[in-house]
Amino acid sequence: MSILASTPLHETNTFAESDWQAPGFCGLQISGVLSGSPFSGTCHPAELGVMPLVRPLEYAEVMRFERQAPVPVLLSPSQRYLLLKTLVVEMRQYVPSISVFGLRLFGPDFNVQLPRELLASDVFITHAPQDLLPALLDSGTRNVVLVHHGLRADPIERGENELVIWALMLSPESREGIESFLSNSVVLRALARRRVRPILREELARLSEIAQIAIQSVEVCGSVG
Amino acid sequence: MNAAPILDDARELVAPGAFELETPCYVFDPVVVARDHAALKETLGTGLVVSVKANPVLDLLARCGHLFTDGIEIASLGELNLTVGRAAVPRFITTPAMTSNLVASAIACRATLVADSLSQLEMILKIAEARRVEVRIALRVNTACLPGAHLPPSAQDHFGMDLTDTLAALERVHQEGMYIDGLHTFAGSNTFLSNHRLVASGMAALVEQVSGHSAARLAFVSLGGGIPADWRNTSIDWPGYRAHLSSLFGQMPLLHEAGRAVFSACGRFVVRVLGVKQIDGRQIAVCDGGMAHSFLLAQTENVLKRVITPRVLDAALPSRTAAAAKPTVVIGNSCNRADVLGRVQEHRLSEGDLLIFEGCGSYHTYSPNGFLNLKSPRIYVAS
Repeated sequence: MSILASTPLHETNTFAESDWQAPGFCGLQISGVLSGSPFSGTCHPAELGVMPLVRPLEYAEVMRFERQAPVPVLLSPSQRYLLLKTLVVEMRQYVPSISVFGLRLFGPDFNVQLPRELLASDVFITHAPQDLLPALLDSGTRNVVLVHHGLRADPIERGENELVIWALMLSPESREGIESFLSNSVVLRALARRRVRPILREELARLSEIAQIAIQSVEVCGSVG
Repeated sequence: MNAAPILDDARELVAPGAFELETPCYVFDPVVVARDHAALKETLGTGLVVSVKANPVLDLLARCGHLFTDGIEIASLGELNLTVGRAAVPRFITTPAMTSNLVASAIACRATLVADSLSQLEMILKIAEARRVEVRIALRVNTACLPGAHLPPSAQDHFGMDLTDTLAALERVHQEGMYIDGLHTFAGSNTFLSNHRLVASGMAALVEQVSGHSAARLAFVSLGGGIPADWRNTSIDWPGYRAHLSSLFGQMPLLHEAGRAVFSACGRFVVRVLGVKQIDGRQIAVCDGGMAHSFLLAQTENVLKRVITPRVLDAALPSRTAAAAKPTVVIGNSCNRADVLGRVQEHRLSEGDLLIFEGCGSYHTYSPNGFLNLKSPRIYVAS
């Protein structure tokens, strides 16, 4: 895979020893945004499909989705899958103890085949991965990774090209792998404005809110290339 | 997905990864579109509307459509389909063949309808009344009929209205209690070099003539385009033109529109050499794509054909030397004797070589790609 670094990884916020020891610590949030294409220098086949609209009422309905987007489209649907697949593969590689992935996916990627890595039995595809958390907590599942993103691959989609990874209910033995992931991840290299933040158990109910704060605190950015 | 780099740092299609491309194909680069759109807009000093017809590739529009903030020009329901929900920029519907369905759909998309005739205007008014919605209407004026324009006879075409109908249109709109939001003209493809000052002067005279009319609520004046792909290399006095516009129109919001001037440089047409043969000493390379995929390369409509030389990526390494080269005619994969794409002088071509034709980013769909049931070209977008 050829994902180009947008900023060097040493700019990622370091994760201090004390964070791991903090009372109530149960994981971390890694966030960032794409500010350019992570596949610069490559080509992708045209994949987007045109809606078969013919009647004025249909046009009026689709116009409801139209809005000024704060960031440009930087990925094709296949490239979005490739980025997310690489993230899952990397996390498995560095943190073998991960038991479950919850991954946000949404249409309209109907023309594009999902990579098999995202169809594995321990990868849950959903619109809102945070909503998986109560059931996972109730079942006592540890080493959970939830991935939210607003990576735009079609102008009709919302999103600010953000990627948020929550590694939660981490067991002590996962620490070394997490730190390796933070140091070496190709996917994280593609992100600008990276932030790493500890998550306390009492914060689990408001992950979306915390992520929103992290994303909004960075200057929205993006160019065509 | 092919994730191998195929562009170098200068975004030239030269890297070995290019051989992964399925040919024949087009490779479009949104970075080049962004560059050329911004440069042309700055050079003109006016708003710049982009003609979707010049490159209706949705994946390319997805990457750079947000830059077209002055608007996009749409000529069919199919083009409207490309943009609806996906391009939150002004839309201008301009076609001499407007249908009631296109009008109603365009109104649903809050587009500006550019009436090409009085009968079109009647259709627009009727649909607007039936739907009880406010409609943005502009009038297309035939360029040769602009007052005092004195354009050459070759400028005469069948688009837009003459002066009499333009004034009648204003009256008709006034009767309905509506307004005309803009005036538009277009002198034809590649006519900008010869006609731009005359068109501007004629349009200014028209604006002066109609601006007192109570139905004229002009929010824009579109001077059309016809700007050539190589506009940077023309002899146009751009500062002088900007000053000319300023003196004619003052603060009136002006638009130009462009297709090839924005898109041409962004696209490459790529074919693979299927074989090389000799006929009576002449060397000919047969390729897997041709005029059925890139009609304009064959230059069938040009009286004087310029020699087009593609770049060559050798399938075999190391590169064969120029010393062994022989001039080679590059032909396409149809049975049409006009299917000649270019000439190669300094390479000895062989099966598998890639030939890259630059400047093919606009009007690639203006090709008879149903001919011989040949497969359509693959479309790629550069990241």
